[in-house]
Amino acid sequence: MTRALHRLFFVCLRPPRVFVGVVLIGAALGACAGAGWALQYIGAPTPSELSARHQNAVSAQRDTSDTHLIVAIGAEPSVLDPHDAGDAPSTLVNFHLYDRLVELDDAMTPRPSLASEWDVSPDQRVWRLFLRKGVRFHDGAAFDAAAVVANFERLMDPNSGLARRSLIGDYIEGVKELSSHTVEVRLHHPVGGFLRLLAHEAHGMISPRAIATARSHSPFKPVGTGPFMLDTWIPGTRLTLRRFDGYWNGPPATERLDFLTVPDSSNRAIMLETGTVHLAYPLDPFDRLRLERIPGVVALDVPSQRMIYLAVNLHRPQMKEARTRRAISLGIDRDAITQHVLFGMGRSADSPIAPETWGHHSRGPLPYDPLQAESLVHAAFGSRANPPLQIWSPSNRYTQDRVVAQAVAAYLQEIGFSPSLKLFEWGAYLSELRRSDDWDLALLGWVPSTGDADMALRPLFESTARGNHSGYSSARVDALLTLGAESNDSPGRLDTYRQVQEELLRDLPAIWLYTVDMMVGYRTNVKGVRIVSTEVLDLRRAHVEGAVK
Amino acid sequence: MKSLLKRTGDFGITLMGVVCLTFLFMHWLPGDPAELYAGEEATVEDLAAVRQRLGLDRPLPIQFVQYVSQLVAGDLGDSLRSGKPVTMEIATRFPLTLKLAALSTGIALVVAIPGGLLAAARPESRGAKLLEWSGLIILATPVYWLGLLLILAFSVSLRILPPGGSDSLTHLILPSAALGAHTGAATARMLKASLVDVLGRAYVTTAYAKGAPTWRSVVVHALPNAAIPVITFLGMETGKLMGGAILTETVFTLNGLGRYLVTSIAFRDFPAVLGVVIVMALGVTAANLAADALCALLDPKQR
Repeated sequence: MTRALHRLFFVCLRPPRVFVGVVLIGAALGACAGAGWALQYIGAPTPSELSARHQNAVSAQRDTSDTHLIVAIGAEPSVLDPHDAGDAPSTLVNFHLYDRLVELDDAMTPRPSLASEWDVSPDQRVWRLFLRKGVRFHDGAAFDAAAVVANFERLMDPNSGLARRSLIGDYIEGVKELSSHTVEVRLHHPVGGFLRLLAHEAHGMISPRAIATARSHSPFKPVGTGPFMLDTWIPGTRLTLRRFDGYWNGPPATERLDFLTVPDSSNRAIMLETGTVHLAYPLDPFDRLRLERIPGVVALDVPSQRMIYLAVNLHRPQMKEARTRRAISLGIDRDAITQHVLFGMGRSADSPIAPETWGHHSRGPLPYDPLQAESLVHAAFGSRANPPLQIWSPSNRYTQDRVVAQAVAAYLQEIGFSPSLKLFEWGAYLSELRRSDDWDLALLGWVPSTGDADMALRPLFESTARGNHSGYSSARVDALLTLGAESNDSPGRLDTYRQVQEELLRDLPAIWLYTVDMMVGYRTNVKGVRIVSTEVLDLRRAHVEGAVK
Repeated sequence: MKSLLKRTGDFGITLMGVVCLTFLFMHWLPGDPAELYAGEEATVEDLAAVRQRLGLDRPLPIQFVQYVSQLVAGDLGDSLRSGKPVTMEIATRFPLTLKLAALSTGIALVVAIPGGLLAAARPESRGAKLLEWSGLIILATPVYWLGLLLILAFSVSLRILPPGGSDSLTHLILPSAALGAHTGAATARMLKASLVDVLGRAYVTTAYAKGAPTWRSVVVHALPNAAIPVITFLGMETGKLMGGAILTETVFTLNGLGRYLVTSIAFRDFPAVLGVVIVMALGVTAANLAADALCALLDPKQR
């Protein structure tokens, strides 16, 4: 009897100890993971069942998603306030939520948008903007002169703490409502690219109510007049915009615009390939080339205005020497880099600014002459063999940046330098560039978001500019840049920028390498995608073909 | 019990250390959140305005004292990037990381227990050899690469599972398999080693001598004792799961804590990084405490 009891104890109680452990872990797991689905998946469907399920899920998704356009982007938007957004993903979303007073066409010519007409006083300081009538904000408020004044006043307020305030705010002396649909903007001095500045994505018109709410330190509500309004935003996962039926320019072709944050570029490409998303941006060159061969997918590279260049540290004695800079410019084979490192997805620079930028001027390709470069190095450094050269580059900021920096280092070694390369994570790069003087050349990129020569040159080469990493200071270039900034679009202004570009090519405060393409992929049934060279993806007319509207 | 209490006390001190070190390291790291927020086009004045708005213009010690006093009150502060409370940002992402950790531990156990038993009980069998080799190969494969291979096989070629996203539970199958395979292989090896040791002990020989069948000797007699080091190991493995989640969540586009940590570091979003690190430290400690409690339950000597 005792033996039987002992056995019973042995069988029933001893084993449970083991299983107590397993069961406890299992129970915890079950509770955490949600019992319902855990059971569903432990119910081990066969591969064919799974496949059928997935097919159903995909087709169910397709049925609804035909009126959706699902876009995979590389990073999460941070803020949907155009006056405060400094990052590309936020700018992309804001472009579809807000309209600007003026728009740019593909040739960077200003076209009417919320302002249907404009005129300017003879001294170029007073602009009258005639606003489009019958336009409404997403919250129902009328778009009128008072709304425009509220927006400009927000941008003029030095205490607003907005990241994009001084882009236009510093130029404006005052704004006045002349009638219900006419606004007068008085500038401190003439501003050359004023209309192109108005077209900047940061100058989207926000509903006065949303401005008032933001002023009371409540969370910002993104309300514009744009073709889409905010539907839902699950941070880190998906941001959905919904069609605004009251849009003044006719409702957009797609009902919903879904932005999915997919940080890994190969995953973006795979999601496009498998049809999980309709459009993926940006792509890397390898995926762009691979997707080209995949049926059902269009993979494009479109020239952009982003100039990739090497800033030259003019605080370093050896870089102050003009022959060194000239040797470096002559010693790099730009064509080989665009062909073999960028796989053709870039164009060699022929000027400090891109051909698409207003005011571009070129005297032909920048020459590659390694022999002359080598003799210049000899002349500059004499018998001192292989002068050291510190090259800095970010990693994974610009297309193939690391590899380009390696190629540059190799070319410079060929002409007699002994270069060394240091790579940085983007978050650290700019502040290290500013803090330290231990570099000779630094790889950087710049896209003028107004498409104007002023935006392409002044933030980088004016002696006091924040982006002037080279420490370049030329009284003549400063004077020309001010002249260009303050004169209206005319042959005279074009000539000013021609002079600036020639001056810069002579002084070489930077070695301009190439402009890099935008790489975008979408499903073949997606139509109406417009890709603008200022790195804007315009999806206002984009839709999935055959979709029921 | 006493030791558990003591450990909880120790944890408070560890957490404070974690907070101090993370705070210092994040500020010591080159990079300026105001600059990253405002973008390259912003002027010097814009930058100053943003810096002031984000409270980054105050001296570091003051920022630290402010942060700690907030923390004591249970407030993790606001994210520099989104302006939303970090607690909320974490709350939206934590469930997914928890599900991923739970599911991958589940997969690991399902693989590891039978695998470890087989390998220990019949070390010379073909099955055991196969398991051992495949375990070695999996251990030598980085998690992100395994993840990419799984995506290639199941999403691109077979098209039966989605390549990424956080919408439904089908999205979790591949990432937890990638993450669980690693833990499973390591646990199986651990269990095998531990079992081989226990199986050599006298009481197991006695069980055999009394005519107990092999499965009984292994499962009933040896496993409970052999499980103790394995459970401790699994507790420690949680930390690795969190680390693995950082890679897995990035490869599979899962919106969990790991990916949030990576984006927050890239953006120098100090409060967000600190918040995630604190939550992860809590998670690892809780898992270790649970493992200790479980061991105490299995092993009378530890009570």
